[in-house]
Amino acid sequence: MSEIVIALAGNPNSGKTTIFNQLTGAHQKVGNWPGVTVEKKEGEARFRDFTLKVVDLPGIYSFSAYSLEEVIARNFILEESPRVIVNVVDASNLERNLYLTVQLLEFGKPMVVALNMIDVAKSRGLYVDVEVLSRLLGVPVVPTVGTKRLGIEELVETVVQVALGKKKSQPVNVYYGREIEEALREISEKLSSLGILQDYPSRWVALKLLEGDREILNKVKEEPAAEELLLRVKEISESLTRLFDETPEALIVEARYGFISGAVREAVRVSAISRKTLSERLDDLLTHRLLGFPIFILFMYLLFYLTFKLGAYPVAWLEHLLEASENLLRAKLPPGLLREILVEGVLGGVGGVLVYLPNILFLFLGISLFEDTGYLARAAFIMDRVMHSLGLHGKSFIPLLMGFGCNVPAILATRTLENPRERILTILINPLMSCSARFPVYVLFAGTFFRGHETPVVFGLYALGIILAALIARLFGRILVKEEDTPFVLELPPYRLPTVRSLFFHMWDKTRIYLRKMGGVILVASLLLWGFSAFPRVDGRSPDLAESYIGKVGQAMEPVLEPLGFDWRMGVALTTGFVAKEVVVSSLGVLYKVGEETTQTLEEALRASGMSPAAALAFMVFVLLYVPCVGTLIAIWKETGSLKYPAINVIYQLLLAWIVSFLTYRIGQFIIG
Amino acid sequence: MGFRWRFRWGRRRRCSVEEGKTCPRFENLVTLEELKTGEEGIIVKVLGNGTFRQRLLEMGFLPGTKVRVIRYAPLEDPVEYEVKGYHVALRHEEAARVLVEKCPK
Ligand SMILES: Nc1nc2c(ncn2[C@@H]2O[C@H](COP(=O)(O)OP(=O)(O)O)[C@@H](O)[C@H]2O)c(=O)[nH]1
Repeated sequence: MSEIVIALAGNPNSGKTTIFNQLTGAHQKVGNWPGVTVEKKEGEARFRDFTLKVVDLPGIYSFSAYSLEEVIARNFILEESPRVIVNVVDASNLERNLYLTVQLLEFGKPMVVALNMIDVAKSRGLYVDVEVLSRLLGVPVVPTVGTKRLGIEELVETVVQVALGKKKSQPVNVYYGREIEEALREISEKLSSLGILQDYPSRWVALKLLEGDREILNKVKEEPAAEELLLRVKEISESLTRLFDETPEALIVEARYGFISGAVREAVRVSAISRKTLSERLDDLLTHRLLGFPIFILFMYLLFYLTFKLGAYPVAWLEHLLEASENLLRAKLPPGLLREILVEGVLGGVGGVLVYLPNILFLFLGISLFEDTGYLARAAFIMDRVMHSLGLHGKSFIPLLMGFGCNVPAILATRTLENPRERILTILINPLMSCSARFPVYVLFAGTFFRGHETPVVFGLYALGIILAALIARLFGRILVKEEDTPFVLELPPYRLPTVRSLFFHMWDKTRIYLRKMGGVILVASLLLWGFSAFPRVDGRSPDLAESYIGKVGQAMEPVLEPLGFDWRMGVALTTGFVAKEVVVSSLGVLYKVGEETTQTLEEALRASGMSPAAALAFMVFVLLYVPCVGTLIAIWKETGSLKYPAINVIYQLLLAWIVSFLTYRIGQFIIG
Repeated sequence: MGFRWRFRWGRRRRCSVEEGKTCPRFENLVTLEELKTGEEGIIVKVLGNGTFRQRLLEMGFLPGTKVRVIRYAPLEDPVEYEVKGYHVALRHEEAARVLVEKCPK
């Protein structure tokens, strides 16, 4: 039994994930590409005596070194030398998809094309002659319909035959025209005579040098004889530019598309006269000038409702379950430290992980639905104008909206953003979207100090969060390394009806990442925080909140919080809010009712404490803006792959919270006393 | 070949630049940004440089290629185009850097 490594490459939306799932079924492993946060998926397929190890490369449009994904994909092909490359191509969008195919051919490795979505192509009157296409490309072409599992067996069989050398796969060389071909030949020869990058195919390296590919240029520069070569490449580039009045890299793109046009002309038969497809008519409605927005808002509302309202039921069941386990443990174990650790620490920690789970499942179900149908691209299309004015992308909208529910899934939802700069910006401002855990604090304080005016107060807080988010986005947009000029190109794929299977697969895929990456860390963090509130022990018991470590930290902060009109109890409550924002309310309950009559409600206790309305308002502002909860910080850390970003969040939010609360308190004193 | 081409398209007035050819006889040179919904043009040149330009070229915005304006977003920006048989949205700032020869209606 032997193992064959195959690499799966293709454009976004070509059905690559679907084919990968069909090939590998449940035998999948998710990890990261070495050193980067881009996800790496591997799986196994079996055919007779062979095990195929399938590596899913990131979905990309090209192999230039613009994005991390592109570099990862090509380095894998060049350095790990998969036996066969499988290129998933969308038959209904052949020209654009073949652009990547042509670049894959240039590696000169055995390759098989999976011509996917032939059902869609057919419905549009496009018939691809597989034999002709295969002859033109020099590699086998297997028609498939990923969603219906058509052609998958043939694909596997072809791959194995190519791997064994029983079937021919000799990628053709695209002809770039006399002058460029001459240049390529000369550079290739120089590469071999100078012994530069001999592990890579020399024609490919020559092409990349002509294209001015930065990554390859850097690699070449490390070689001793590089100078001579690079000088010559520069000369050749300049003479080509003079000759054609066009840069070599553009000439190369044109030649590739020229080859593709020829291939498409020969291999594709168009039968139907193109009429408006169902997809286009749907778009007339969904991105309509006037109706587009209301429909969009409706969909967003439904997504929100699904995530948080429907998600609340399973959350309640989970809470019951946790409570039952708690009671069971309490009944079975003698009182003492062990019981407390298990009940309050561990169960509390598990609870901390699980409470997000139903929301996350529903959110990802909704997002998968948007993604798989193609609506996500339309949402970005509709919202881009607004988001762009903040230096963000149309796709930033959904994560920001989700932030009003809970920032943890919201930060996971930024995965749909490809540009790292926009993604980081979206993550950094996300905690300013007032999550639902902060709501109970507003209800308590607005209800206590602004009776009858709760709505404008709470609404104002949400608005404040949004306005500050916009300002911060612009500020960070300036400070964060300005990326070079990359264009906004948003593909709007045709609408598709996803299969239930693929929908749930996508949902589970994303959820699994949450559990795997964050579950453990959140558990540990919750345990630690519980520890800080349960120690130092007093007569073998948990201390009063004010006496615990966490309480002491809160008290130590009093001098800093005093200018905002907060007393030490509010400081302690805020500190405990680091675990989860809703904890602020229960901590206040414990702290303010101490020593008072037990019949007193928390509202009465707060009013009796002599807190001024201005201080109450400042406190709400502080809760809105100060550090994200530990779950959110962990999400930021894991999603950006760096501790730098959670640190930035903590610092800027603390500063912002202090300044804005201070202003609120001082100005508030004048106006409302 | 030439005959069949003319036969198929005979009833429509053609662009002064044919798709797939860059024959410079421009009468209606505008930027892509200036095209309105439903209008078509043949790309003449993509301005700008470096990564920006390369990316647009690779996505199929090549000289000699036909582009059609499908629709403007509800807030006018971005704009959806059809090029090489697929749909893609560009912002105005991108479209302003693509020169096209506008096709007569
Ligand atoms: N009609 C049809 N739909 C497909 C086919 N393959 C995939 N899809 C659908 O196309 C959409 C995108 O597929 P996906 O595998 O997520 O694409 P990826 O972005 O390349 O990974 C999903 O809704 C799939 O269900 C196919 O052969 N025919």
